Amino acid sequence: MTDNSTSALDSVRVLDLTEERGLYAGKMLADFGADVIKIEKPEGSKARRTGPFKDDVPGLENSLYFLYFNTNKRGITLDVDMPAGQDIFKQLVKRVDVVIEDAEVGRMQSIGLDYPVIRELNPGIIMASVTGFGQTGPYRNYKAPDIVSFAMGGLMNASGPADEAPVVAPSVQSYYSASIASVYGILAALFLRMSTGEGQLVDVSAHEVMAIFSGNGLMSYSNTAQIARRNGSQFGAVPGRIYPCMDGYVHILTVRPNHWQGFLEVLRMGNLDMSVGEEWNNAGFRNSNVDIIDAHVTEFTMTRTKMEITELCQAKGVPCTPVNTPLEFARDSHVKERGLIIKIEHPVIGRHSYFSPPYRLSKTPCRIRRSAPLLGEHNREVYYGELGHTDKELAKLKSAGII
Amino acid sequence: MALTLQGIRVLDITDAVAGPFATMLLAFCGAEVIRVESRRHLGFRGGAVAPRRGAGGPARHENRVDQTMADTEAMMSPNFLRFNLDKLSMALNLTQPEAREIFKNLVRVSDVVVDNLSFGVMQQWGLDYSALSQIKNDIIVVSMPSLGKGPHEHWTTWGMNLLSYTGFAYSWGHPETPMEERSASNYYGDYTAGMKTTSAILAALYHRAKTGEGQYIEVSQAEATVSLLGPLYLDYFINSRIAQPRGNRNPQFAPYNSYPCKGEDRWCVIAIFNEDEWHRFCNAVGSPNWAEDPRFQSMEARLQNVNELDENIGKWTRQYTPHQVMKILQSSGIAAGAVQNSEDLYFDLQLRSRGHMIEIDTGQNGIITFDGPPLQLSAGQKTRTDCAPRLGEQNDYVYKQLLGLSSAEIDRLTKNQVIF
Repeated sequence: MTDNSTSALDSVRVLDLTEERGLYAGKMLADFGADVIKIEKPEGSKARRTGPFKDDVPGLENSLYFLYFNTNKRGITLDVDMPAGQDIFKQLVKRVDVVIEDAEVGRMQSIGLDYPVIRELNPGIIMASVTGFGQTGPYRNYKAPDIVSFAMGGLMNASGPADEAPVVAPSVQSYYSASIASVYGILAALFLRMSTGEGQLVDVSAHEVMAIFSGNGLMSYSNTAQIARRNGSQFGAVPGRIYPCMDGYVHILTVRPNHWQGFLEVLRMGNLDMSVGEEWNNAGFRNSNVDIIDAHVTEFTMTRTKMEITELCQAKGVPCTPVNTPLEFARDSHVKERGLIIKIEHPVIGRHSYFSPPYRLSKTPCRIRRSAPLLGEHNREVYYGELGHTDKELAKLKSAGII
Repeated sequence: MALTLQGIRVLDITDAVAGPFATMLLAFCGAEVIRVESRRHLGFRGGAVAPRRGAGGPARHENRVDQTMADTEAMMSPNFLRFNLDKLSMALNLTQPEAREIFKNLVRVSDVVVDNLSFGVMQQWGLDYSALSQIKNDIIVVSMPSLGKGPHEHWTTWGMNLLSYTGFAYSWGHPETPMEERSASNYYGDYTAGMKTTSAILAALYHRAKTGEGQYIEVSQAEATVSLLGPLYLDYFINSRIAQPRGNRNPQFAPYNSYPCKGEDRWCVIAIFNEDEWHRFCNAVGSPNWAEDPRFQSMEARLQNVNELDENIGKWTRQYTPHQVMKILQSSGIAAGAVQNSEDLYFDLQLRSRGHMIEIDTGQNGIITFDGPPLQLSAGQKTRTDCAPRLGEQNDYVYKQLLGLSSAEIDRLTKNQVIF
C-alpha cells in the first residue's frame, strides 16, 4: 500500500453542495486527494433517493447512485436554507478553497450565499456553479434534468436506430460531462490562484458542454449545412458497426483505408465464398452497398466467437472489440490484470466491488480511501473538531433542524 | 491579465480526438502547446475520417508521404482544425534517431509531454518517462492509451469500439432495439476521457508547483469511459443485475420520455418529477381533465398506465415544433427540451448569447464556426482563439529560438528528413 504517499490535491479543501449535476465533480477532486465535505440537508441528499438501491429496497443508506458519486468524500448535514445554517456555512467557507453547487440559477443569491458574498469572506475562494444552461442567457432559468441536457446538446439526435425515436444514453451523461468540465475549470482556477492569490467564479453550463461532446455537428453544419442523422452503431465507412457472432456481438470499424485492407485479409482467412471487386476498396462504393457488404461480414462473423474475431482483426490492425455487458467487462482478462475493479466496504451495503479512479499518477496515486459517508457521518469531526462547537451548541442546532 | 498556464510548455504527440482535445484545453488556458508532427504520418490532419456519402473516393491525402509542403498546408480537415485550435506546430520525424535527440533537447525546456501513440512506441524510441525524467527531473509525461498496459495493450480501438467494450452500447437503446442498432454514431468517450486527462495533468501541475516533483500519468481511455457508468456497474456488482436498455423512460417518474413533434424526424423530451409539475403540465397543454383522470392521478398510476399517458402526450406534442414545446412547458416551470440537430445547435440562442461559438478563418476551408472553450472563466483564459497551425508553421520559432540551431543546421536536418 502507498498510504504514506501524497495526493496531488491533498492540501485542497472543498465544500460540495451538489445534488445531482455536480456530484461527480466533487468525486473527481476527492479522487485526486482533495478533502471534500459533502453538505446535505438534514433529511439527506436527493441522490440518496435515486436508484438503483441495494436489493431494490429504497433507503437513505441503500442508494447505489449516492454511493458511486460520493466515495472519498466526508459528509455533514446542514440546512443552508435556514439563517443559522447559513452562518455555519460562512464559517466553513473561510476554511476552504472551493465551493461546488448545482442549484438553479439565482438560488444561491436568494439564500445569501452567492459568489460576491462568499468572496467577501474568502477572496481566494473558487466557486463552481454547475447549471443546466449557465448563469446567463435566455434559457438560464430553464429546467434541465439529464434527458433535457442530453437532448438539447445534440447527442440524443445522433443516438438510436435511424427510423426510431432518438434515445438517451445510459446513466446520467450530461451530469458526468458537466462535472468533468467543472473540474477542469476548478483546477485551472486553483493553478492561477497560486500566482494571483485570487479565486474566481466558474460558470459551467451542461448545455454547452454537451454541445461540444455531441460531436462535430455544429462545425459541420457551419461548413456544409448538412444535418447528420442517427444510424444505430454505424460510423465511418462500411463495414463500421456492431455485428452478431457465434457467442454475442463485435464492433468492427474500417474508418481508414488500411483498416479495410486489413479486414479483407481477415475475411480471406475466413475462406468465405466471396469475390471482392476492386470497387470495394472505395469507401463511397461500400457505403452505397451497405446491405450487401454487411451480409457478407455477418456471414463471416457468425462462424466465430467475439474474441476470435477481435484477435483476428487486431492482428491485422482493424479496430475491433467485443460488445460487453458489465459482467463480461468485469471478467475481461485485461480489466482483471489491471486491477481496475477493487473491493471496498460500506457499513450498510457491505463489502462490494467498485472502480478504482481511472487516472494513474505515478507519484500521487489516486485511491479510494473511504466509502460514501453515512448521513451526517462526519458531523462530529467537523462541528467539534474543526469549528470548535460545544455539545450544547450542537444540540441546539440539532433540535432546530439545522444539522 | 496573466493567463492561467502562461509559461507552461506542452509537447503534443497526439492524434485523433481525445489527445488533441486534452491538449487544446491546456492551450485555452494559455499553455504553449507545440504539436510534434511529421508528414510521415499525417493522421487526422489529412482528414482521417472516411468521406461523407456521395463525396466518393478514399479520404484524401491519407498517410501519403510524397506531398509538397504546399499540399500539406492545405491538408487540414475540419476535424483536425476543431481539436487543434490555439496550438503551434513543429515538423519533426521521430522515426529518425536524430529527431529523438532534438526532441530530448526540447524536453529540457518543456513541462509536459503528452502522447497517444500506439502502445510501447515511446519506449521503443527511448522517449518514455524513465528516459525523459533523467533529462528533465520534473517533467510530467502523459500517456493516453486505448486500454493501457495489459493483455490487450496492442489493441487498436476507436471511440465507438470503446463504447461497446465498456458496456455503454449494451444498454444504450430502446427496450426492443436489437444489439446491432444500439449505441450512437458518436465517440462520446473521447471527449470525456480527453477532458479527464486534462484534469489529471492540471492536478499534476498543481502538485509540481507545490513540491517541485514531476511524474508519469497514464489514463486508459477505456477506464475513463467505463467510470461514466458507475451506478449501472454497482447494480451489477451488488445486485447482480445487468442493466437492460430502457429507452427514454424512467422507472421512477412519468411522464418522462421523448415525444414526436411537427416535422420530419423532430422530437422533444419532457420530464415531470412530482404532482405539482403534473398539474401545471395539464394546464399548460390545455387538458386539465388529465389531472382528474384516475389513470394519471398519481405518479404510481402514471407509471402503471405509461403507454396511454405517453400516447396522449404525443398527440399534443405533434401539433408543435420541438422548440415550441420547450417554450410552452418551460414557461410553466416544466422540464422540457428540443432534441436538437446540428442545424438547431448552429442557431441555438442560448449558445449564441453566451458567446459559445467562435468563427475562425481557416484559409483553405473558409470561415468555420467552432465550439469555444467548454466554460468561461472570469480570469486566466485566453480571449482570442487562433486557427490550428499548418504543419511546421512554427518551425522557425522552435528550431531557432527554443533550440538555437543555425540556418545551415536546419537546412541539413530538412534535407535529411529529420525536419519533415
